[in-house]
Amino acid sequence: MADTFEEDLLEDKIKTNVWDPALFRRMAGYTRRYWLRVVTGTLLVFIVAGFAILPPALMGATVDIVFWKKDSVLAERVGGVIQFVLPGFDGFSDTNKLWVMASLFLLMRLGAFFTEWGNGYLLAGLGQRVIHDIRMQLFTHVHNLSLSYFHRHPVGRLVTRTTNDVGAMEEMFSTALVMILKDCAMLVGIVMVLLAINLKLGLIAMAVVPPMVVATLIFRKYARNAYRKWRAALSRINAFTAEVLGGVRVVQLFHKEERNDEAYDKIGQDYKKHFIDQRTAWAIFRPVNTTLSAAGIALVIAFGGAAVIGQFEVSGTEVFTVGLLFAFIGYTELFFTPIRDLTEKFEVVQGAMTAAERIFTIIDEPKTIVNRPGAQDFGRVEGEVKFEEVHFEYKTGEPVLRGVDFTINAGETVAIVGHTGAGKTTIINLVCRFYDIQGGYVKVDGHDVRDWTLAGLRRNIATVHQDVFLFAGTVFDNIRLGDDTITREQVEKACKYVGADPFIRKLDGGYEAKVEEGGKTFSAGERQLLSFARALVFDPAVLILDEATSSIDTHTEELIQEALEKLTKGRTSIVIAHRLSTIQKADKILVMHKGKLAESGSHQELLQHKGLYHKLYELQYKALEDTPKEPEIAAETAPSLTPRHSSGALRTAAATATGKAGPAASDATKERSKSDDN
Amino acid sequence: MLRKFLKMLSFARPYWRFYLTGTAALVLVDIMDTFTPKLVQWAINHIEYLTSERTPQDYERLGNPVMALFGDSLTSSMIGGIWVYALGFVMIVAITGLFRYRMSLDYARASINLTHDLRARFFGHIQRLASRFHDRAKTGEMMSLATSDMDSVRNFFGFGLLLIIDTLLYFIMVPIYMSTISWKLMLASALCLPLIPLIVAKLAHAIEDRYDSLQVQWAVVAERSRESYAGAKVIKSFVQEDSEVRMFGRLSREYFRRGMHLAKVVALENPLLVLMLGLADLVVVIYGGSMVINGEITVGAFVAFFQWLIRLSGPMIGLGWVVMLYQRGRVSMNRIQRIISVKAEIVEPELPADVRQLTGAVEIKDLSFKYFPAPSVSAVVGDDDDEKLAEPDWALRHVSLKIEPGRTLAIVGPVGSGKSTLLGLIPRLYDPPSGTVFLGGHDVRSISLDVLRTQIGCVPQETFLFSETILQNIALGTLGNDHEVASAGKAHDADVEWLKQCARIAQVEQDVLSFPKQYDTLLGEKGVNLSGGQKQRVAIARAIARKPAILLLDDCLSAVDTQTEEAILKGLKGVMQQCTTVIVSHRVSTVEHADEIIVLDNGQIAERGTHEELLMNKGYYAELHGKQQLEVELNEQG
Repeated sequence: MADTFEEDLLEDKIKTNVWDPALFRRMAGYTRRYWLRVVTGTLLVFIVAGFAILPPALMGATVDIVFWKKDSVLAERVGGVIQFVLPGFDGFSDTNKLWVMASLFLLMRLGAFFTEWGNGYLLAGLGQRVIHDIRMQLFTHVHNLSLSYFHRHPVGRLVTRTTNDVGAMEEMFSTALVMILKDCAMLVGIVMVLLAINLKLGLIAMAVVPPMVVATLIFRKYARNAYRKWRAALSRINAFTAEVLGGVRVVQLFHKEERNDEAYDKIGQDYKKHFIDQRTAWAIFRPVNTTLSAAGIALVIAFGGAAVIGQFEVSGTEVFTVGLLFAFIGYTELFFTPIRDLTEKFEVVQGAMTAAERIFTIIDEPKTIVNRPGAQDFGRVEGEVKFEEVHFEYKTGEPVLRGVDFTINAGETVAIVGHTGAGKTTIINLVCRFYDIQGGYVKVDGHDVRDWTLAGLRRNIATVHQDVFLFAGTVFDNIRLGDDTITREQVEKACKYVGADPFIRKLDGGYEAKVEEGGKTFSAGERQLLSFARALVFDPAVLILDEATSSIDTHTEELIQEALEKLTKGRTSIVIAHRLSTIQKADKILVMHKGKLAESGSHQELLQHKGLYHKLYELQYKALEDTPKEPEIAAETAPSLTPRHSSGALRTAAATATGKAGPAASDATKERSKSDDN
Repeated sequence: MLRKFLKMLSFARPYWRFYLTGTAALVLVDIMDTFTPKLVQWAINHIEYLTSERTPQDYERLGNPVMALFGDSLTSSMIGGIWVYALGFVMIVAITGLFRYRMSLDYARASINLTHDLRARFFGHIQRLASRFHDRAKTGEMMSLATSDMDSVRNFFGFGLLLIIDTLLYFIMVPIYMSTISWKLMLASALCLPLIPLIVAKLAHAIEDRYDSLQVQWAVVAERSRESYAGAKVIKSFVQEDSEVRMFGRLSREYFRRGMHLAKVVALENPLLVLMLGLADLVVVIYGGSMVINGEITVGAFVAFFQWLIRLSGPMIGLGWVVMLYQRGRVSMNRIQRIISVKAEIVEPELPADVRQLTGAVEIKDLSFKYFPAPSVSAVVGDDDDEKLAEPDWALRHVSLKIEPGRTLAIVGPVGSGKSTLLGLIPRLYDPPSGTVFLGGHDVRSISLDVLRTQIGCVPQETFLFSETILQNIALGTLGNDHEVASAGKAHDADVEWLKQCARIAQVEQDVLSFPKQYDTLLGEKGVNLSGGQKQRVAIARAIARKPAILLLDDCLSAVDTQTEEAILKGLKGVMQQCTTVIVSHRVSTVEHADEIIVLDNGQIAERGTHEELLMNKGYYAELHGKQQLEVELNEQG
């Protein structure tokens, strides 16, 4: 986890093989649903390409028929076609022939216009549809991934995938692919026409193609490299900007502005360099390309010209005319445009491929928390929650829960207490099955949570998190979330019940008041109340509450306490408690210590027990003047806490006490020992 | 229009050298490129000549001087001399290529340098803008200015300017060449052309509008996905995945709809342009063709004419781009400039007081303060012209207090009572009215920011760490060589030892040492790999590392548990004796030893005094203490 940021940077250097056929096939697979569009589009592309390669032939024919008056291959063919449609064409005057040719031009242009327009729109539609599909697939998949995925991957990166990367694919689907297809069709068409007109001269005209292909390949290698470095530099700039924006107050308080200016300049210089590198590749490639294409045209002029004046034999009997030469020059010029365009489209495809690879990495991320085959929705539960010998670790080798057993009866309110890292949050995460355990059972109403369907299980449970997350939208939307079946009346009722109604009504717009990004405008207390209303409106059988530690003014605090009482009434409540009043009112207290249930019982029972709870309690609430003189908790109390566990567990506990646990579990221990040092 | 354009151009002035050489190269490129059809014309003339009965003089009359110049020596050489044209053609294109290289790079350099400087200025400015501004600025909006707007600017000053000059040159050169053949034909074919820029302008306008509307939806989609991913836990807890996907689907479909709306015009653009150019072709075929039939022009001239028309098509289409690039670039530049011209309200005093070292004395005299909201980013850049700003309430009213150097002031009070506001005014995060806040007897507004912000240590309520190493984070803003603390090994040993000492005081060293790279651990974005409590403790170490004259602690121990808090406070005791401390907290145990405690309520000082005095007072503080005392007693009962 320590390297997420570095990873993010490295990701820009992702090693994509641009013509990775498997990746390409997979991308193309998204168009299958729209096969009719694809087929029509493809056919139209060929027609568009056809229209695009007609003009030189028509021009050549015009020259030969009208001006040069020689029977070249072109003149014969084109003239033949016209004669067929328009008998008597041969006998027309030159001027009339010219008009006929001009009409043909007009027809061709109009045809090209309509087919290209229609096709462009058709394929843009394809592109837009495909990316909508990909975006939705990605979004849906991300939401089906387990919570641990979100912990491993920063939100910012996921957003980039959903927006920028999907966007990079959009251009490929809506324009780049069509252009590539069209360019290829044109190339093939031109080659065919060139060779059909004159094999020998056609081959001569194409003599420059091999060097051009070589130049393109060399260029591609450099351009790709330069492009990647440039993008990586860009994302460094963006990351830096975003960070400074996020921490601008700290920047100012610590007078870091000038240092930032320097750092920014440095990253910017790097970006500049890579940008220029990338441009240089293009700046070299284009002139090489045009020079080669000029060489092709020069060859045509020289050899074609020689053929016209009869100094170069193109073929036995045929005459070579100025019209043919004209058409040849036209085709040779036209020939290089698709080649050039193809390489330019390369940038788009390259971007799309890289983007696709990143998106597919997410889509291929297995859903780890899924409905088992045969999982059921057992409906509304009574609310009994049971942990049987639960073993759990977030990271392999770093156990967080090490054999936890307890039963929470339906309707009971249970407070979980313990040090940071003792496993409190983990317990509530497991009830909702945000993670799967490595050993034992978590049961709700006697059914293993893994036998439940996820939706069925979670519909019975409502969770109020410590840091209340509010979505941009209205207050109303934030309480009922996306559930359209919850009415305004229900929401208002819930708000009144938990005491959120008065402050909501005071807002500009009341329940329809806008909640800003992150709910900045609400105080911590108000947010708590909103989240209570949210939980209540879903009427859960089991309420899970991670009590907020943040300080709240006395008035709101009272409101919250009242609301809490109402909220927990008649339902199973599991509370990670930070307030004494909450703990005292609980039916049962679970004391967690280093991934084990150390003690459980009521407040009074536990105090009398003089065990860990007693010590914890003293530490939490004792005034500062009495410097605590307790000995190291871990060393002394851990063994004595575990009489009802097996000796194996005891050994583990002892091992942890000597400091071999993972960082999270041992966090509390270290903080403890520090306080004793002082 | 023209004025706006000239104003836009004025931004390019500092880079004139690049533009000068680049444009010189561009002029040569265009001259040579527009010349090549002439060569084709001559070549075909030459072939005509070799196969017809015309004399070289006929061709000279028809605009071909070559044969008259070289005469028989040419026609009697290899393949009748046609090779000259072919060779000339290749050479001209090759030389053009050299200039083209120069041109592309110069324009790229100009645009990237311009953008780089602009970006640096933008960045430098926004990080100096007052908190008032940042309170209302969404990161997303600012980022889009720094990225997509910056790109639009770069595109205009690179590609855009190049296209403008290129287009202009072609529009001058090509007609001149065309009229060497026949000015009548040139005019006839040019008749169709003015339609093109008109259509292009209209299309570009429609494209821009629709593109903007698409961009707006893009931002909506991005924002929704960000929120949705950030709130994944809530969504999962309440089984709202499906409705979330539905909601996102609606937004994505709207994006699709707008995309199609745009595609309608975009798909039309190119075919329409090609059609318009085709009409010009048609004029040449008919009118030029009849001129050939009548012997007024040669076939070679006819062919060349087409080549020029083709050469004109690029700039014609380019014109569509130019309009769009210009408009986007101008709008973006405007937006960026508007942000840059937002006044950085909190700046160096014009006449700084002669203060090098803060004594630590803090005095506040009858301070009343309101947060006047700054205009939002969208109002600044002109997207939201009728933003109404509500008149704020007083955040602080008639606050007066005095802290002697080395003493500790504690502030308690309900949320929203003005505690953080008061704290923020001391380092001028917000500007107090003049004559209200004094440090060492000087109005805070007259003290150099350099002094103020290097000698006050602050731990804000919300912890923010940078994606640097832990050591660099702690070293942030310490006098001297902080940026040289690249890693623990490279910095001065004594300095590093002090930084570690600070980490020890803040009770975070143990945690740091448990990481594989220890102090050199690189924090992820926003310090994601530390827990909330660890982050707070690093922030505390950071604040004390600078050996501040004044230490401001804003509820900075909320995420650490009580016994760690106790330990931190104990460690801080030594530090707090050497500087003036203002501490905001909710725990009586944290504040009770302060020299003075004030209770803020609704922006006013409701109670003030020492712990004992306040207890006698039977007010908010006593109540707070009572509650916590109750807990102590309960504890004793147990």
